[in-house]
Amino acid sequence: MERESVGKRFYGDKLKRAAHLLLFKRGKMPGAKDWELKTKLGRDYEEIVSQLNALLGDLDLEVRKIAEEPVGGPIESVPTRRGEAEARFLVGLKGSLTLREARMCGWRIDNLSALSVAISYLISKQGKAARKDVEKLLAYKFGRWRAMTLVDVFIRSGYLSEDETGLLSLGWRTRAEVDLKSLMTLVLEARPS
Amino acid sequence: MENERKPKRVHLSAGRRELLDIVKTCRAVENREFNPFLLDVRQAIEILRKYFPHWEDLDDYCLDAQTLNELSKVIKLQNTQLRFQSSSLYADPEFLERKFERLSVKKLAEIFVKCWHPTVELEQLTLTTIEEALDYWRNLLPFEERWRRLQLGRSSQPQALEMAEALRLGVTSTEGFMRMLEKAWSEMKDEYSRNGEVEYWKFAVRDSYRETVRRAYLISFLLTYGYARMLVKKKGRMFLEPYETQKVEEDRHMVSFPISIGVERWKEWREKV
Repeated sequence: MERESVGKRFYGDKLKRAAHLLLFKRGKMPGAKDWELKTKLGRDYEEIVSQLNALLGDLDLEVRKIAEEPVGGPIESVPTRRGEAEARFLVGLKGSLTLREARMCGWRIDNLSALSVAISYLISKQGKAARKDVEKLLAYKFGRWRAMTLVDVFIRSGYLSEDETGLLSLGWRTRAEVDLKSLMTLVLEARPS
Repeated sequence: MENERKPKRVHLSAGRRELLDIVKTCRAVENREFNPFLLDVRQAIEILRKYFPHWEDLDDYCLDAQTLNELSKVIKLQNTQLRFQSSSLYADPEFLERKFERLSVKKLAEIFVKCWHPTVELEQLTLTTIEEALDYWRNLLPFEERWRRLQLGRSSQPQALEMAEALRLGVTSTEGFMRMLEKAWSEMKDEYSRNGEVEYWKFAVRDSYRETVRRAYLISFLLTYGYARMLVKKKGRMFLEPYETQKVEEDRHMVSFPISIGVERWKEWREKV
């Protein structure tokens, strides 16, 4: 059902459909591609998504648009929240979690810490580094065995990606979920407690 | 009389070698093994210029083109690096490594959580997810294969061991086990009083691999029974600290710490010690 007021339309059913498409995971990756949304919601899908975004905003959530398969070029050139034609829409947290909340979501503190180390190190290496170098760095704090399993976990969850030559780069999830500039600023500013 | 300059003879095989070296270096740069600025592009171009007029075969021209292509990739990487260094994301990797060493695990996690905005995804059982799960189990390598990545050496199936065979292998001895432990303990205490520290590998490694394994086995018992404790210091160096008397610390949480003693590792340590 669609209501039309003066100059602005409100998409009732289509909003619900958009929320279902974006919140329920159907394939390997969460969210929906822009063409999927266009097929299922119609030509005005971008307006529907922006209305959904406004509704979700009250719940500290937001709709993000990320480039589907960015080339592994320099980090600066990779669009983080704005993509071109081939883009994926995701719903994510607008604010941030506390450490306690992150633990309740099933994340271990050392996993988060290792992820922070791996991502910052990759950024400092312009987005690409040999897997063995990342493992070596993680092994210092987490042990050799754990470093290997952690890298596997990060690759599986999409935070890192690995090519056939053993080079690690930032995965789609890192680009969608992590504010890279803030991360680097915070890491550089941090002082040992 | 004018001195006529004799043209320098060009060895094509040397030229091919030089070009192959440049290609190899360029690939290493692409694989992030070296800084792109370590390659002197100007000199590489000079080499290309030197040999280009002498090439005759198609293969040589192809090699020349390939080298030029690889050099252009390196120049692109140099350009990327310069742009990256002028961006706000730039940080020296070595400086970062030192920073990570000093920051605690909790602090690093706190930093990450501040700039992390996780995606909302509601999981449900669908045909795709079932297929994905099946694929995972189908593609999962056997346990032995996965262990091989750790280079722990070959593993064999467990078998029963006769007492005589165990004695021959030196796994057990006619000497009482507690006596062996006491001997190792007093040896450890002596070394500790002499040097103020006992490094694990220095204490465990002996000339024969068998003796090394035996000592490591005894150390593990000394640690478990509370005759000594292990400290893991910077860069993973392990130290042993013997107690004067046996200590049973019930309030402390015991942690298992596996140490692999492969033959390769033993050889490496034997050379060091």
